Amino acid sequence: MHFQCVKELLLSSVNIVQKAVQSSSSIEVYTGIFIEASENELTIIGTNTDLSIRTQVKADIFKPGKILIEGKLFSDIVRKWPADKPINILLDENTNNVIIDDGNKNSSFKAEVKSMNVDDYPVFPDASKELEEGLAKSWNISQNQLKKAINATAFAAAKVDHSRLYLTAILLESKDGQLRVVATDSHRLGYYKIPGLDGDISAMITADDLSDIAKLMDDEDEEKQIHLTLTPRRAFFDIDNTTVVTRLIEGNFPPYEKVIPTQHNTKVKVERKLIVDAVDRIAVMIRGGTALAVKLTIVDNFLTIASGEMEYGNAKEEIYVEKEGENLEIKVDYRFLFEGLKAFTGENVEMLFKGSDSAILFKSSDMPEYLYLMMPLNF
Amino acid sequence: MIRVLDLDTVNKIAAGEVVERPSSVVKELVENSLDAGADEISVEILKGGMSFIRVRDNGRGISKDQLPVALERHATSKIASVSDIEMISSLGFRGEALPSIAAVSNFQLASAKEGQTGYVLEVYGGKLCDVVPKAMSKGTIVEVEDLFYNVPARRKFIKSENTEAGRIKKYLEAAAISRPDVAFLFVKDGKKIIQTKKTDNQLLGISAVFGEKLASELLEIEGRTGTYSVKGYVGKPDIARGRRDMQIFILNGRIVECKTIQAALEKAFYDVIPRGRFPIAFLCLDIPSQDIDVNVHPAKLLVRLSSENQVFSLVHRAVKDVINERLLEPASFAEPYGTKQRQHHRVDSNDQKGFEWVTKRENQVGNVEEAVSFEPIKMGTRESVWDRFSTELTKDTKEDELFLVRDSREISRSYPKILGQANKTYIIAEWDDAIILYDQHSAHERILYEKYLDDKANLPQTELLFPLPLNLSPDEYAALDRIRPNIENLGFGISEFGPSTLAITHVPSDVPGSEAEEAVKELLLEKPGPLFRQKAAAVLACRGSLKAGNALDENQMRLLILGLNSCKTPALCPHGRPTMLRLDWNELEKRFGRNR
Repeated sequence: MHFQCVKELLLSSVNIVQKAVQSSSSIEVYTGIFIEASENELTIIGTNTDLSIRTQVKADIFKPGKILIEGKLFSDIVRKWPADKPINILLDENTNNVIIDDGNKNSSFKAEVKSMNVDDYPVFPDASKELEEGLAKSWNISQNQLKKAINATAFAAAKVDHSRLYLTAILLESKDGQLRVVATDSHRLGYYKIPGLDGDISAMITADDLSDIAKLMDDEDEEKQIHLTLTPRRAFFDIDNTTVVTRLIEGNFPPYEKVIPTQHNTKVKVERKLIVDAVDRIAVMIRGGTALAVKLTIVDNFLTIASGEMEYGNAKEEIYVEKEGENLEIKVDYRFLFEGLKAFTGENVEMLFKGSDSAILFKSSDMPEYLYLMMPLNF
Repeated sequence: MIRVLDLDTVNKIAAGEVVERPSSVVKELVENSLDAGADEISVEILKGGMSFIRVRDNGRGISKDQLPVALERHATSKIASVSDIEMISSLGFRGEALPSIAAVSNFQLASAKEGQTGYVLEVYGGKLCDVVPKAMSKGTIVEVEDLFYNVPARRKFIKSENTEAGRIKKYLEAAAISRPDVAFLFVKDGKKIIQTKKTDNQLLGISAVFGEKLASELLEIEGRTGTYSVKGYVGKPDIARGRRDMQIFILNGRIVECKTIQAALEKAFYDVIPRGRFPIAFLCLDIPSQDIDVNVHPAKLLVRLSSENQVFSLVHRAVKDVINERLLEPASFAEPYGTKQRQHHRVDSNDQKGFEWVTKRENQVGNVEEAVSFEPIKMGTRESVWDRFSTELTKDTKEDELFLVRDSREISRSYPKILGQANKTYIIAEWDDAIILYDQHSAHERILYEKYLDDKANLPQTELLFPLPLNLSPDEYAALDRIRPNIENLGFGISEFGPSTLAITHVPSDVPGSEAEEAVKELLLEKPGPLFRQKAAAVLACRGSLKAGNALDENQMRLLILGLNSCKTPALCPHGRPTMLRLDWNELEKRFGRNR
């Protein structure tokens, strides 16, 4: 095998698959990057038991073939490669060594790295069988929209939980002609609906993985599509030249529809930027990851956001709101409030309260496909 | 047949109570010397004291005609009647020691009073010999040979020579520390083991016994309530030991073992040293004699206190105050955590210190705006900071330029400038004359821990959006029955969903739902009792705190550092690990060879 590739192209491809390449593993091939040269294209793959990533990149192919090279080493070589020189990669079939240089006879740099056994490399997962049997479902979704959905929910998932993985997950569920994207850490919940997608299937993927996948998506170009396939055990994301396959989390997602309140006694509509900035300012009074409570007081057309009474002082800020219903006082964890408000786009946010010890529902006519929900603090 | 025991047998039985082993002989004799007003005492032993013990002092001495009386049971000069026991201030009083020792050894008692001839009395093979004159200076010399030669059963229980010598050494260490005004000399098999000089400074006494290095790691404590008082020294948490061998309690001048004092001490240290380690402490308590009963056991090691609670809170508060006040300094880079324990016996006066944490009071910024506007943290990205850093270092840096940088730093006194987060685990900040690294998990743990301890009544609680299953083993079920109210008081809500299905509905704020089940299970391992609150706070703090691997934004880092600064014991997490490490400019300059 022999090919030459521009540094920047090769580097960005290697970076894409790197996430699936393990730095150490009892299964040696999982630490490798697999590269196959064919026609005028390279296929680069990283894989482990939970995640497989494949991407394609243009290159000058002189001789087709495959190599499997230690991932950390290879990506370091590519990263440090001078920008103005091509990377020339050749497999010496006698020694099974991969020779890396700039393609010139008198290349100043030359590395010889052992190739691992390509025949041991696992076959890249494929959903065609499940699709044929009707066990899987696939859609084309706007990249922009799925990326928005993921960003608006991922933060609501728990960061770490080894025994309740569903709390670290984002749920993708197609139901009633929508794809629902939901995440919750049991204190708050983000819920995004993408319309126009039929089917009846659900899948849970860790919010971390899905956030990384979202980084591959384009949020500028409205036209760009992602091809999403859900099978009973895996999810497949085809994004441009890249395919990401993740293993699904098993278990039952909490009954998210049931916890969304249907009634409210107080409703306020507030300019989003105003309240985000106000909460941010009040947060100055909150120290050291404790006493994170802020008090929201709604009286007539004013919402007062106040820090607790600290030994060193207190602060409050009053903002104008459009209010319907009763006056109310409620205490919340400012982080949940702040992150939730920031998940919205557009000018206004509506906050719906049932009482000072019931969940608060956030929604916005500027972003009708999204709901955010959080529990208050009780003192 | 019932018979009255003969005197020899009675003496041997009684001897067993007072004189269990060589170290008890030494203890009794040294106490006699102290009661005789000696200020120089030497102890020599051979073979762990089994073959030979000699205790020599320069005390008042015993006159010729009193020598035989001293060997009669319950002969004592220290009390005259039972009412005196109530007011005991001397170490001994029962009058048992000398006859007991003499009954089980070949024994020689020599004594001279000031300006008089000395006399010696020998008991050999159980026989009292005649009193004969002996040339000696003022004081008393007791020699004990072939201890327990006539009590083979007792000999069997004596451990190896080394063990016995170790016990004697431990007793003499304690004695020397309890009486810095007395010079002690301990010679074992011809080798000098302990030598102290007369001093009125207890710390110098400790230093003479345990070395300067240890003495430099001690914190002085003092406390008083009413007529009770305590003073002494405790070791800093990072020199805590694997055993309690360096806890010496002195009650009214008497070395005692006292569970109450020990418990108070260890509770005060509970949240600053790791499990399984024990604080070093040398504590002297003064309690009116009528409030203690030392006549519990002939060896007088155990005492009974009439008001245990008062003693407990006295010691606890005195120690805790010092920990809170003095333990504000972060560990230095130069001494990795845990190295001190092994090193402290080495005498090394080259101890580097001198960092004074900006104290809590200075830090407690009256209004936060001032602090913020004074030094806005314009951190930007991590890279940019390091870029700036490296250019500062690589550009033709002259000494005075470095000083310039230092001057501009004066502004940042009120709180550290955050440089960034490393490995999603450590926060790097610059503060005054040092770089400080914070471990985000243990720092947050400390903050939450103090919060959970403080807000007894008003712990905020939060309901979960949906109940999370709580799966318990049968043992855990049983435990839950016992301490369910304690757990619910912390802010957990637990509900039955069906016969054997439990679920968590509420959690204390800061404990994420995702950690709730584990937290409850950990709490179920604890017993209700005085320490439950502390242990529970530690569990909740650990479960609620940021983990290594959480990326933090600038604001979160700022909150964490500010929160840590307002803690009572900021430098250590509740398990006693450090929350921060510092690298002084001095140290940096030394390492980079800049100060040459």
